[in-house]
Amino acid sequence: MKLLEVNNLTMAFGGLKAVNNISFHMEEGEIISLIGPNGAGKTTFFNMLTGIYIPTEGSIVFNGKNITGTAPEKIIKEGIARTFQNIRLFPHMTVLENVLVGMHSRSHNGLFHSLFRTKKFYQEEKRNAYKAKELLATVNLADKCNEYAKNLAYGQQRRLEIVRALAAQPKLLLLDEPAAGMNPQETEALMKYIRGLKDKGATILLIEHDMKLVMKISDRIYVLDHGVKIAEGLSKDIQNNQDVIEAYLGKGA
Amino acid sequence: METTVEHVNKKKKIIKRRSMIYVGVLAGLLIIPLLSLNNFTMRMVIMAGTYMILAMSLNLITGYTGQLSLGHAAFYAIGAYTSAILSMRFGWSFLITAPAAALMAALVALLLGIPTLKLQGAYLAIVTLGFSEIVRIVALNWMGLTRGPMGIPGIARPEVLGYRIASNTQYYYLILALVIITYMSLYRIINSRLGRAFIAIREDDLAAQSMGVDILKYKILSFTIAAFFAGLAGSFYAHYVTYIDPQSFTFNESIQVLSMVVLGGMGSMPGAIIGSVILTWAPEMLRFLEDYRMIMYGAILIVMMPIRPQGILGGIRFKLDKEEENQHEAVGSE
Ligand SMILES: Nc1ncnc2c1ncn2[C@@H]1O[C@H](COP(=O)(O)OP(=O)(O)O)[C@@H](O)[C@H]1O
Ligand SMILES: [Mg+2]
Repeated sequence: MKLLEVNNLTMAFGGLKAVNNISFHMEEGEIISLIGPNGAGKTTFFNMLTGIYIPTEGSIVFNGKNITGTAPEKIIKEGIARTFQNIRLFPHMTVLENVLVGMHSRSHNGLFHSLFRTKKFYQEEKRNAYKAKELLATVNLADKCNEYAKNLAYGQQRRLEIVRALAAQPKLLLLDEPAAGMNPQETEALMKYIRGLKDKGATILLIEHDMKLVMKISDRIYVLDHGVKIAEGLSKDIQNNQDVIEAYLGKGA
Repeated sequence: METTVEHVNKKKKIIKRRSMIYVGVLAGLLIIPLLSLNNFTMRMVIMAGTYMILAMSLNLITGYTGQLSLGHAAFYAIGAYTSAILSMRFGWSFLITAPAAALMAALVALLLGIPTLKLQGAYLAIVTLGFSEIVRIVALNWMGLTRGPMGIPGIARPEVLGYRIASNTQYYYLILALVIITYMSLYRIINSRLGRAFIAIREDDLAAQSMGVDILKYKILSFTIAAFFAGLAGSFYAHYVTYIDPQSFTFNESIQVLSMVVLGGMGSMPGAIIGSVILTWAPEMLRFLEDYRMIMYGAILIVMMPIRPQGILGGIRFKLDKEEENQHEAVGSE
């Protein structure tokens, strides 16, 4: 079944079309990579999927529902969660609290239950803390629960951000250059982790500008350049595509 | 990993330590009136309690949620006038006027917050500043309701469960109860899904929104709760001083409360309390400086905000948080 279907999506900033007439689709359980040089429009595409930008034209259909222009806090309830290219954690909250905020859309305790510390309050807090710690253990952050997020090493912050998004139990996970700034070992481990998520049934859309990195783990790849989709297909086809080579290495390569 | 036995022991130890701290602090607070302090000192202690409620509540919206309000005195005023008027006109007792005053302040904050908090950035600061001037001017000119500059004298002393509160000692225990109620309520709000949403908004509103936090809703909620407790403080003040006029609720008052929050540390409950104590006393100690005292508040804001936003206490919040989290951990293992 098609999980995500994007039709003729365009985002114009003044005269600049950061994303120009892109159509795109994803099936459940796929890992798709969105690659392209810096400024190609990848992050802008994510921002439209997550309601941060309202597309100038086109539509986004997720899980059979038109979600074009839906506000970000509602998008996550529909089942799309994301990370950011430039890490956006809550720096003065603990690692555990960061993940608990990730569960916001899946939990319910409001003013009444918080004030009167009802049974329901404790049940939910307990359940969430337990789940959060389970998630943190999958990225080797279990022992960092009480650290402020800002005190984590860079690679740990990246992993925490992924786990915070997963805490919302999304049907589709969007990762914006999750390996940026990581060393080769960290990158390797991360790619393994992402594949592990897929094996457990996750659907993932991955932005990367390093083409080599995504070749192995992607089911299909979309290539953007200057806002335009210049290629799509299986990894091996993309690798040898002349347009793609030119976009990356310049003409004459 | 720790064993379950270790976990349970740790939990017991934490809970025991926490309750010992609470019992110790409470015992200390209960015996203060027995120290036969003079009237002036008792009045200062009682006013410090009033400012604690104001500072803790402002801290919720400004320290925890990150939305600068420069008009906290407006809600303090609304609470005081609501209480005074209900008490004078209808003869209602404190147990009714106090919640009514708090609810009135909250309602006004809700109506003011809905259009204002939609806007990003400094709008809340500007609107609350303007709003507090409007409240003061209305209080000054609506003679029929507020008696304008003449103020409202002779406000009834509170009656609580048959006791008439009149002596400083009795007022002390009343404000102590109100401070504890405020502290516990805010503590519980902050250490919950709600509080995490507030702090997340302060830390990064776009990330918070992307995690499902309806930032407008939570900003309004935080602002409304803050106003609720400011209204409660106003009600106590009216029934304590028994005379109110618009002079008691000027912009200076808002700045004083903000300075308490900033001095103690934005986003710190103990900080707001200590800030209130220091800045209730300091102006009395520095009376000889007359109006130059206002410079002190300016200096606190200018120096503390950029150089030491965590306040004079600094690391305290972190320690308390950690303890809370440890408890979490212990609870999770049952
Ligand atoms: N809010 C915005 N206003 C104006 N221009 C923008 C905005 N966001 C992105 N752009 C522009 O859109 C283009 C694509 O940016 P982006 O989507 O971040 O690229 P990528 O993520 O592929 O590196 C860039 O030229 C960028 O400057
Ligand atoms: Mg980008």
